[in-house]
Amino acid sequence: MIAIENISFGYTKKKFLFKDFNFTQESGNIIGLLGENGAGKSTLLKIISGLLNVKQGNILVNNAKPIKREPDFLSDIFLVDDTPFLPALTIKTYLNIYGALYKNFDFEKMQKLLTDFQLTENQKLQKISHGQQKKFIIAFALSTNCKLLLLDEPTNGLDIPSKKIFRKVLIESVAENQTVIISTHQVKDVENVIDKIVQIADGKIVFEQEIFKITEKYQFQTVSSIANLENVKYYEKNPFGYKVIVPVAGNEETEIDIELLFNAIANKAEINL
Amino acid sequence: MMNLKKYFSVQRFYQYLKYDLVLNGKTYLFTLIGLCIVLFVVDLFNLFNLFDFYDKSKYQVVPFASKEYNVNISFFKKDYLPVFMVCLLIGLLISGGTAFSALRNSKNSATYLLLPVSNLEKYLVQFLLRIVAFTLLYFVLFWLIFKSAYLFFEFFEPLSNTIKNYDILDPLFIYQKYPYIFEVDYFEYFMFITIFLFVAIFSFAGASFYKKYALFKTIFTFAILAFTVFLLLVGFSHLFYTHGENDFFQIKCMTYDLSKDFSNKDFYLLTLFSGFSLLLLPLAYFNLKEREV
Repeated sequence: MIAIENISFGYTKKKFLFKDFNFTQESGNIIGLLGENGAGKSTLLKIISGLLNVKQGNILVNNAKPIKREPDFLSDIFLVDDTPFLPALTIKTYLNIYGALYKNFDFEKMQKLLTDFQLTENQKLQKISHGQQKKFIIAFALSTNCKLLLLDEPTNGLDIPSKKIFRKVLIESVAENQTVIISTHQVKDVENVIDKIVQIADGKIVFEQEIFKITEKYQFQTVSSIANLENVKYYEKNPFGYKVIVPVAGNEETEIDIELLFNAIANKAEINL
Repeated sequence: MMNLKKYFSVQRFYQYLKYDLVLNGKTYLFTLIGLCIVLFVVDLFNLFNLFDFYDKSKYQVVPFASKEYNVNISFFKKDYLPVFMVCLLIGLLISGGTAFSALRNSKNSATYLLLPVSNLEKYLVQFLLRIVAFTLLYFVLFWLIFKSAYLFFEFFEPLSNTIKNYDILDPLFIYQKYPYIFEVDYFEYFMFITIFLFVAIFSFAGASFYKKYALFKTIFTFAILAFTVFLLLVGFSHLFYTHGENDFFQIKCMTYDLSKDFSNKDFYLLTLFSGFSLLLLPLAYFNLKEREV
């Protein structure tokens, strides 16, 4: 569980990135933390993980103060950075020494994930590609069985098949009591994975809603013309006509188009739930 | 009841020590090899250089010692110990100053700070490896290297009966071992140990405080601190004593013996260095604890 109350944080004393910021999440969700570059997504993940301290406000993550960085707390969270640090070791050695530090590390799960990501134990971590490194660290993070998994731009550097495997693995591997926060600006990559959207802009949460509630109220369609459509909340031109967000008529639910929703919120369209 | 396991657990400490040794094993090994090479060159240079330019007037005790006790103590003390001490001092400075190497860049820092071990364990592992293990290894390495260098030296310059009787721990117990040769000066003894500890802890604290170029910044900080203390003492000297035009930077003070071989000046220096060391040890821990990315 994450409970952030009225925090203020800035990299300089004069400019705040977050001012009186609040963020509360219950356990058991895969949350898409969306936002443009510089919105504060990575900073928020660093604050949650205890890498940054806030001058004002209260933070509790899994009932612990992150900045204290106590072993039990650290064993129950994992932050996958955009450019993770991987030493010049083989995967096997890394697992032996690093996995042993995590109290709930599942070596069998790791073996399965390595197979899914087409990695072998004898590969040297610094000799594999950036995409493979990313897949390895994601597999490692999932194998720690931590309560809170923070993924910062996890799909950066992954090719299209790998992104597909990433989504599959994530859905299969995350347990019900685990919380995953995926921070990304490549919103399309986390479609069909997340069950909640949190969008931040200028250090504020501008949108927060569960996917099923959005699809209950709004439809995401592609239409040739918007002339005859009523109550269009947001639209974008595309090669086939227009992508639109309109209120649900009757019981016809559509799949969510996160990119469209993201753009709608970024452009301050009126999406009320 | 207070949960002490969140601060220290033997199993976690062992796992983390193993982690550090595997992760940095190659770096440690190459550093030790580098140290051995440097020590060998320095020892050889020292042996050849001092042999050629032996100032016999300073070593009047030699014939007596050699004849009576079958050891050449003067050579031992004058040549072995200074090299041993200078190299140990530089070694501790580098070893302590390069501790917490993961904190030098933010990518490694994040991984290091988020390792599921306590700050105390991270701190203790670094202290154990960088200060304790380094010092112990240094005693063994120096002894081995000096013996090797001496064998090499003897090949070119046969000198009978010179370094015959020294052991690994002689640099520590030389006064006790040969009380008939050296005047036992316990202050000098403790002063050396205190200075060595101070250098090690100061550089260690610097490594936990600075992000980039920690060693260089630590040395620079030390220079500023030393200069500040010097200026302070000059100021006190001007306050309590009269100074001429040519002795502006001179420090005058009243000296008196607190006991045999132990003056108030000695006491001041000992307090200063040990006090700073005691202050810097927890400071290094809190630097690590408060560290951010």
